[in-house]
Amino acid sequence: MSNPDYGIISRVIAGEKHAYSELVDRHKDRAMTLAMRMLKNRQDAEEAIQDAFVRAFNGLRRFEWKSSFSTWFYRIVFNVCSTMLAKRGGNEIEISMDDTELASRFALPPKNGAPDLAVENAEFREIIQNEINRLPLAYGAILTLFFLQELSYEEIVHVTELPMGTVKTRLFRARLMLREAVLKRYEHGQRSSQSLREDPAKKERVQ
Amino acid sequence: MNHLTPTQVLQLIDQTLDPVEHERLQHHVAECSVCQKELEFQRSITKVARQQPLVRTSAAFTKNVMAHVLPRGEDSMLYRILLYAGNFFALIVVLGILGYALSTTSILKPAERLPEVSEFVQSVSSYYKQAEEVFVQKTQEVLQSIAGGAAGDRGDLLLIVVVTIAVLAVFDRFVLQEFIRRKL
Repeated sequence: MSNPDYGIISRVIAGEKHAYSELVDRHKDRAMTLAMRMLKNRQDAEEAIQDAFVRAFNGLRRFEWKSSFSTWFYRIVFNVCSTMLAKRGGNEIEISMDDTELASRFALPPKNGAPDLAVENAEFREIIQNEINRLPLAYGAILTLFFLQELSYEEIVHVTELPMGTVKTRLFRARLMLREAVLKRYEHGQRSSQSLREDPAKKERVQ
Repeated sequence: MNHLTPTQVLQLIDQTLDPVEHERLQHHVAECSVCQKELEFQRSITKVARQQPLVRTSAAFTKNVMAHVLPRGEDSMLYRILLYAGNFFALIVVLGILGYALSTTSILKPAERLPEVSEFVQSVSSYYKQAEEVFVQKTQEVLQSIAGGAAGDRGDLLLIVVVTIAVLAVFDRFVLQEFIRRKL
């Protein structure tokens, strides 16, 4: 098997426990990103993935390669973070939104068309990152699994234990919410620059 | 045809539509500048979202995890010394057996006994002497049957050393090292 995780896990199971640090180094930053999306707090996120790595180590002999190690591990991270959220008393994983309203919004062509801009600049990147961080937890976590961990729909189902239909719906909605948020930021930016062009005195005041 | 819905645009990007529907929507996009712009916009969002910087853990993170994962002290210098002590112990035992075998086999002169050796030590050494003679005799018989009598005293010695090393290696790997791991 060409997956480097396989070799490392085999060595750990054979008794070379120190090799586990290589597995930690390979997955810690992606896991941290997912935990940060869910917990929104650096200390809690690091605590959660540390707990997840220890659990993964203890369960490594039971890991059967039915999925990749990363998928199996993200499931542990997801569960640990969900438990921490539940302890905080506000588990936002279960969302309650007006499905009919949302469905109708995304079933029609968007009212506001896409901007005619060279969009992949630094500002655009910053907007995307900020808006993903601002998404409701139930959407942000799934979006992170899809974009950053590059998991397939099936793998996200495995990690979150949600039905396939729910995963697809949330993923589409998350991406469309992101689109609308980005457009709103762009429109706001355009209005600001337009008002500055129309009112030179205001421009001077800003400067 | 109306413009594509946001869901259709994403399905086109993810290539999750059936081939006929995919082809139909692609055909529309090729002729509709509004949908082309929308598709490019969503593609850019997807691309940039995939390239977001990861959140880094603290510098000591891996070390902290390993401190929880490894049994207490396994990462310490004492553990490593004890682990290698098993090998030193095995080496000393092998050399001891080799020395003993050399001093007692017929290829060397019998070692001189000290006059003040106690009765107990004498009885123990005579017991081991007898056991060794039986072992050497049996081993010689086996070797002669295998090599047609070519093996001699040196063959006996070599066999004893090889068997001892093998036994000690197995003992060190599966008993001693496991014991050290569990106790520390």
